[in-house]
Amino acid sequence: MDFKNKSIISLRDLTKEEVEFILQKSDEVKSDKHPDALKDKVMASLFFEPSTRTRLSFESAMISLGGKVFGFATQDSSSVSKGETLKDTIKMVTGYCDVIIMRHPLEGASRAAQEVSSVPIINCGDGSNQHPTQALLDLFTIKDKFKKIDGLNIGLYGDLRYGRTVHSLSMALSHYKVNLYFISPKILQMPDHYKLYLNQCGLKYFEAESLEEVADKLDVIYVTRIQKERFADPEEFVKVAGSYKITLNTLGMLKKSAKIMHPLPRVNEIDTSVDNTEHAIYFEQAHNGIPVRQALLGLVTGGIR
Amino acid sequence: MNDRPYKVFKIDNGTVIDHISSRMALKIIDILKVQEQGIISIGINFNSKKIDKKDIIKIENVYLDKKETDLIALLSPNSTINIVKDGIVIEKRKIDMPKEIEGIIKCPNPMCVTNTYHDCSTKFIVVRYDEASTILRCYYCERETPVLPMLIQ
Ligand SMILES: [Zn+2]
Repeated sequence: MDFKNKSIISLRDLTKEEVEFILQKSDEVKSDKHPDALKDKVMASLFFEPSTRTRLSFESAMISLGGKVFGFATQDSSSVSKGETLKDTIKMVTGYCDVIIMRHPLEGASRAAQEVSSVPIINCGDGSNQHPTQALLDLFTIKDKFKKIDGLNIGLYGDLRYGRTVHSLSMALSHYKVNLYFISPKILQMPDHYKLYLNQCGLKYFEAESLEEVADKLDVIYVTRIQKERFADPEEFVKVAGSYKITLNTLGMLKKSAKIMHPLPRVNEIDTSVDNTEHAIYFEQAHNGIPVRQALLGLVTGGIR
Repeated sequence: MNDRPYKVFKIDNGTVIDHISSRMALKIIDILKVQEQGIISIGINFNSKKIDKKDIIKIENVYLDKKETDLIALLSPNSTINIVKDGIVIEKRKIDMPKEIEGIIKCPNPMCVTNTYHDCSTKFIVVRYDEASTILRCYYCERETPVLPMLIQ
């Protein structure tokens, strides 16, 4: 499978074989099988919108395998704010690097950039559309923990309507024989077009409004934050957000082997008392961002084959 | 189209688009971008045997190709095309739904890259369609949208 020069824009573009290959390479990277995979490769890190976590994860991934990094962390520090078009910025930067990673507030920006780029582009988030490396590291974490993905019961919990990570993750999971449980308040349910997509992929999903209804079935609970902006009525927010929380009490309803994931940063949707239990794997999940991003950088620049 | 005295001029050469869903004629002229190309006769709200009310368009001396007339599927999938030369219908054509639409439609998502940068033109993938509506997915922002007349640029 040849990933050299392939851009990673959307989960939609990846076949199951490609996803599996990326997970396998990530596993190899995690066990130090590709020590100099990024030696002398140059990564341009273009953050038209700030995202410290994703940027640091990528930059550290690059540097620790021997690569070099340049770029900008916010839009103001580049010429974009002076009216230069996105495509012109990309055309210029492609002359200086082997790979571009970019985050942009506009949806579809990475796809548009890819059209004029002579080097591969890795999408680090385009508005509320896609964030493929997050979905891949989520998948990697599940596989790393359970040694399989098929057959698992996976609950997505919280804001399923606006949460980009749960959309990308459910698309990634559509390649596997999993049962999905969508647990959210009515107004934050998974959008219909994602449900339709999953239907077409032959995936089974169940919807619930409270964790209690399905808690004892779940192998994974993927928690996302419910944001205040989504509610017209602040009292309604307080009521809803208050009932969508993982605490030590919640853990009693779960299988002993169930794992709790979260894309981080978390506010108070998972109580810190949960952190030290066997169920919590969200910090490990965040750390898995490094090998997965290293594998992707290596694959698209040709350093890993 | 023989027994009813249409009030749209007969043409000897050009393209006739018939059985257009009622009130779609003007929008179809917009998507075909033929406004500047010679004489166009338009009939709106004719009685029809096949469909309840229909529109009809006759474009003189312009021979639209299949790729162009397939765009009509977005607004009126049951329209029919006749290509007329020297007073004779030389081709009766069906329209087929195109797989992709470049330009023509505007993405309804205000956060879509195509709505901000002038050098990003639109592109849509036809996801599914039936008699009532056609659903497109923006190639860029991946949002799905039904084809609405207001989205035609
Ligand atoms: Zn769009």
